[in-house]
Amino acid sequence: MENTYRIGNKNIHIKSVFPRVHNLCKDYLAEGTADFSVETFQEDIDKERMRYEEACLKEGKSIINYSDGYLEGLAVYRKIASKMLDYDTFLFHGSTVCVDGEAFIFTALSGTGKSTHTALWRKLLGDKAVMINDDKPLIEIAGSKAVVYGTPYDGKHHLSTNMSAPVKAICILERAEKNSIETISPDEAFPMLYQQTYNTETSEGAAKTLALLNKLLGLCDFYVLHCNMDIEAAKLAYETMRSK
Amino acid sequence: MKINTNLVFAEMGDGFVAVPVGDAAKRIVIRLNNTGKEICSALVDGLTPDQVVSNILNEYDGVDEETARRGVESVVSKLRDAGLISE
Repeated sequence: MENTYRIGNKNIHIKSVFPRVHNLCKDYLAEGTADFSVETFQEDIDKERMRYEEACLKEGKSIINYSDGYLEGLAVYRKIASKMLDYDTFLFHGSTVCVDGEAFIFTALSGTGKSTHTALWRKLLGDKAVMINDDKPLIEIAGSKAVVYGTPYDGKHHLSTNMSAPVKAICILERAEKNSIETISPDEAFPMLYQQTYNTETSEGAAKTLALLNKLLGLCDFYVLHCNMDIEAAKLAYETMRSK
Repeated sequence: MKINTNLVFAEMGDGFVAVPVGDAAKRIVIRLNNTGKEICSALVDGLTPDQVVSNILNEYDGVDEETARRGVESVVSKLRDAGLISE
């Protein structure tokens, strides 16, 4: 099955073995010529399954028998993420909310509470807070600004909007009993940013990713938020990050 | 002493970083200043620590052997701590 979608400001032609990825991308259908194509085969799906099972064994997690269609979706995004580097765009793992035209990205190791925190922003701000993407948005380094895009890869609650916004701030979340927030330097932010950016596994891809991250360091503000699950955490984060 | 992975160097902020690349690469970041980057590149190219010290002494006036050796050992130590060296 095949179709063209607009993701991360590019028209991408996707050809797949199974239809599932096209259902996932249905809100991003595009017209016009493709900027590039990705195609997946059964061997890509098998490789994705192997990669997933190896990660589970390494982390001591039980293996879920995901469908080939689901794994193919991951394989498709992997190919898209690798190609998007040519367009100064990289895949980032973070829950991203837009308020008054500015994007705030929350990142942390899995399970820390990124989605929980952005849910608090929606509770605090209502319709003013729009979820750009709850899981894996794309970030483009577009000259003097960083722009974050919604994508179909939007987490288990499927929270995303087909939109983009300039990145105002990236905030690293850490769980804590009491809420506090501090500005950190780009240097301090870098290790986590790198950890949460897609791993391309080639030297060229790594070099390009690092070059884009280096530019990102100068284009937005960085924070660490120590937070609990109270709405006061969202209030503190919002009022601090929007004001600078 | 052998660096057992493919490293990519990049400018980052005021200095440089070296990161391992590849299928099983750990998401490790090694921070280096200008000199550290030169030392690390030389080690990746297969020079021994002694050879790197020798190169530094040949290339830079006013650097004594103790300083050069300390610089090289600092980079070796960072690589070892990151698990990137096989002896």
